[in-house]
Amino acid sequence: MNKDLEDKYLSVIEDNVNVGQSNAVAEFFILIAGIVGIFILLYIFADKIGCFFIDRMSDKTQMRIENAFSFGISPKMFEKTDNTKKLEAIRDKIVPLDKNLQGKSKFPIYEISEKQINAFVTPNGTIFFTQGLLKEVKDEKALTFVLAHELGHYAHRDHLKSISREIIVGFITSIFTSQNNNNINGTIYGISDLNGLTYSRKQELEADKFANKVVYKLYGNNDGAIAFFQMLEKKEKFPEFLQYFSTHPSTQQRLKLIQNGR
Amino acid sequence: MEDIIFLLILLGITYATGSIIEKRHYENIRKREIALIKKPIINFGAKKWNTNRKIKKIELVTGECVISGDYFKNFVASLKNLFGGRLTTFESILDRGRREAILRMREKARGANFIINTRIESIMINDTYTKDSVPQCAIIAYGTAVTYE
Repeated sequence: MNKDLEDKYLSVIEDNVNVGQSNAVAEFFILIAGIVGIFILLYIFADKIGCFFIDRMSDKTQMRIENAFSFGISPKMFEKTDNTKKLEAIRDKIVPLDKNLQGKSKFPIYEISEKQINAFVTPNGTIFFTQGLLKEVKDEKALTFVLAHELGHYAHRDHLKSISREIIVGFITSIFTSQNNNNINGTIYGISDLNGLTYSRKQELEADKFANKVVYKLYGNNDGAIAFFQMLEKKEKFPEFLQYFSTHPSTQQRLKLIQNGR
Repeated sequence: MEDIIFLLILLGITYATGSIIEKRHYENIRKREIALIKKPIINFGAKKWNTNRKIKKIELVTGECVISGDYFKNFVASLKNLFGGRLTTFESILDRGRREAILRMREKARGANFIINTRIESIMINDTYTKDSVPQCAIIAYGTAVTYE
């Protein structure tokens, strides 16, 4: 074999045209950024559509939807304790203050055994308090704030908005990933798992504002709420920038809001 | 949240291991290709082979190779599936598979002067329609090795 041909073969070995020269990591980040962008747009779109229709919905329709979602919470499962009786007394004070809360759900209150400090409202108006929260917070004003926050979610119809958002997003993502049908089932399960429903941070702030107003109306000050958030702030270990990954605004931000606003 | 962290760790590890393995494989291929640059010569075209020299041996030589993409490569490719475009992460796998298969065939025909009528084919090993199919590249190269006396 002559020398030229040998050089040619060598150069073919060294210089490979069959493999793309692009950087796989850069490609990965561009693709992820694209998908995240699409999802953000999708969420905004779903949110806008959901809010548009739900804000214009009549109370009758709201009750009908809520009854459809009363998913097997039998009151017998949870016993009434002293704590829940105390909370119910507070509830009876809050409900007459806002007309969005009247004539709808009866807002039963239950206690669940969990160490985490949390409280949540289900779509049919049932409110749950964790034992962790009830152990830490004894002050009536702070409890009023927490309860009013959850009732604020209900009054603003945030539960229906987040259900509609989940349904729209779930529907569109199931089209994206419909190669195997399991995804659709998974989406339906995901939607029906309503305990995992989250509200947007804006909704949380609105609920805080609502609760703040209620506390002012009842007691004339919001010291209890401020004390509650200061207690939370001490317990938190996350740095503030992590709030972008969480559903709630950072405690500092919420504290600032209720200190300034009334 | 935990799922995402787990996924990122998995992607990072598989990217690191995958690129180390690929780099070493390419070095290995390059070394072997340079060693085999003179003999045997491969002929891809001819259906007929005429020669005046006496032939000592004619035999079938084959080289096979199955290469799989790592988790990171498959992940990037599945993302690309959504937007479209060249699956650049799989290009290197196909290239490695083809070169490895041809090299194995030539190594099998060591001492022969020619490999005539060489063909390269890709074959399907696993069922790609089931849910847990492994993305892989299976290549077989075969030809007739001719040795002169």
